[in-house]
Parts: sequence; C-alpha cells; structure tokens
Amino acid sequence: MGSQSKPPGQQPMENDDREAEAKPGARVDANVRAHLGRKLKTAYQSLIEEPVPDRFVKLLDELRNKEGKS
Amino acid sequence: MSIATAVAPHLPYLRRFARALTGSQASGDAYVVAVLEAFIEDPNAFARDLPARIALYRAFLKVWDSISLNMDASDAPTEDADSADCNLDAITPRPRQAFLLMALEGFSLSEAAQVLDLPPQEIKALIDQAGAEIAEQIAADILIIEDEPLIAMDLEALVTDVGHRVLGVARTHAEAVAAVANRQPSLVLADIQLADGSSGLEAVNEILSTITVPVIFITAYPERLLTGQKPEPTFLITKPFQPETVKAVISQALFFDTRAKRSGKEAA
Repeated sequence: MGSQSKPPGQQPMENDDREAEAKPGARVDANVRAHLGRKLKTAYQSLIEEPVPDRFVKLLDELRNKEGKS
Repeated sequence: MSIATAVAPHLPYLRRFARALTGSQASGDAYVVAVLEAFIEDPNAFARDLPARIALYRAFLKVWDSISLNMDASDAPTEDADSADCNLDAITPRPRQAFLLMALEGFSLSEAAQVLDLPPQEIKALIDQAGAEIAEQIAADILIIEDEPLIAMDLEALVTDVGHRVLGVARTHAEAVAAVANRQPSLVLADIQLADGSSGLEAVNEILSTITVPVIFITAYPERLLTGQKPEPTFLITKPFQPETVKAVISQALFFDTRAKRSGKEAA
C-alpha cells in the first residue's frame, strides 16, 4: 500500500478503501431547514384540520365576555 | 377587535407550534390553555400594537419561558405523527423556537425577531445554532451503493460536507452485503443498477432482512422501484440529481428516523 494512498488520521478499514470522515462544523443550511419545515407541516397537518377542542372554545368565550365587561 | 376574535384563527397553528416545541400534544395544549388564561387574567398580556399572530406567539413564548407545566412528554400518550418530536427535543430551547417559528410556522426573520423580542441578528445566530445542532444530531454513518466512480465521489463529498461519515462505497450487491456485515450503517444511499449486472434493490432488500435502516434510492430508472412490495419507508431521488435535493432528503430521512434514539430512551 502506497504511503500517499490515505490521508493521515484516516482509519484503515478491512475490505474498504473508501471510508471518508465527516467535515467538522457542518450545519444544515437554509434549504434543508425549509425542507424539514415542510415535512413537519405535513406531519402535523391533521392537527390543523381538526376542530379546536372545546376547552379552547370555552376559554375564548370567557375572554370575550371579560373584554365585553371592561 | 376583541383579543378572542383576533387570536381564534391562529389557535390551530399555535397548537401545532406548541406540540412541536414541547414534544407532545398534551403538554403543548397545556401551554396554549395557560396563554389564554393569561389573557383572561390580564388582557394587557396581549400586545395590541403588534399583528395578532405575532402578539399571540410572543405571549405564548413568554408563558413557555416562565412556567414549567410539569407535563413531561414521556408521560403523555404518544401519537403517530410525532416521529420528529424526539429529534426536536434535543435542540436547545431558544434555537428550537427560532427554527420552528421560521421553518414550521413560516414567520420571516423580522417577524421571528418580534415574536422572540430579540434583534434580527440574534435570530440569525439562533437559526445557525439550530442548523448546527440538527446536523450534529443526525450525523450518520452512510453506506453508498454505487458503481459509477464519479457519482460515488460526488455523493461522498456531498455527505461528508454536511457532517456525515462514509463507511464505504459498494459497487455490487455482494460488496454491499459484505460492507453491512462489517459495519452497520445508519443510512444507505443506493443506486439500482449495479456494475456487475446485480441489483441495488435486491442488495437493499437483503440488507433490510438483517438490519433496520433508512434507505434512499438514487436512480435514473425510478419506475423500476415501483414494484409495490417495499415494506420499509424509502426515499427516491432521480438521476441526474441536484446536490441540494440529496442533502435535503438525507436530512429528512435521518431527522424523522428516531428508532435508534427511541430505543435508547426506552432503555434509560
């Protein structure tokens, strides 16, 4: 095996001459964040479509009454 | 307009945000209830000088920051759509808020700044931190099954660039199976048509009979995947691919794959 065949620090692998280490300091960029956001939206879609539970409706009524009095 | 009328149309979205932020519907709803109770207690808790949606989310985050409702996500029954909840939980709260406000709720940077009551440059920093934390969290050991050297090199550069490690590049069905026996990947990127006439699809099916791992197929022949007999949720990217698409789909596959982390949590 030639001395130039592997960068220093890379672990030699049995049956595998193509292992590549991750670059440090990576972060998901705006494009990926937006993509994850769209997938989250899809995951939570049923929540948006279902009616708001009664206890929230009651609280809104209570708030409306309180505002009406003041 | 009354506060009640102004905030009512935004409540479904606030419940979604609360759910994503807290990790469970029960916990999220408890905070939404608390914010409405805060308005009833003191209508001035609602900032009337701001657009209603911004004022509502701002009040919500003030409540979320100030009280702990003691509803641990693990106590609540987990519903099906929350595979990302575990991964979201792991992001530091402030960056998580900024990320969800923008990516999920669609607030602009300046709107998110108003919601969080911070200067826009701090929102930018929070978003960058969220991006770094997500990258670290989903960092994976990837097996590439691809017979074309140039494409394999492209893929390798692309995935290491975003923080993943390449365990190996397999060019044939046999090499792929041998690679997995050697070291278990946390994600597989697979071409369908391999060098020696073998099939990446068959290689993946053999791999999936021994381990559970998300798989992304990258192929010029997407129709060959439509066999209707894949049990595992898979992802498909058509060649020629855009690097941005590959990055996005890899992140999606890993971000929404919480099996490993879940089992770890259950064991704890």
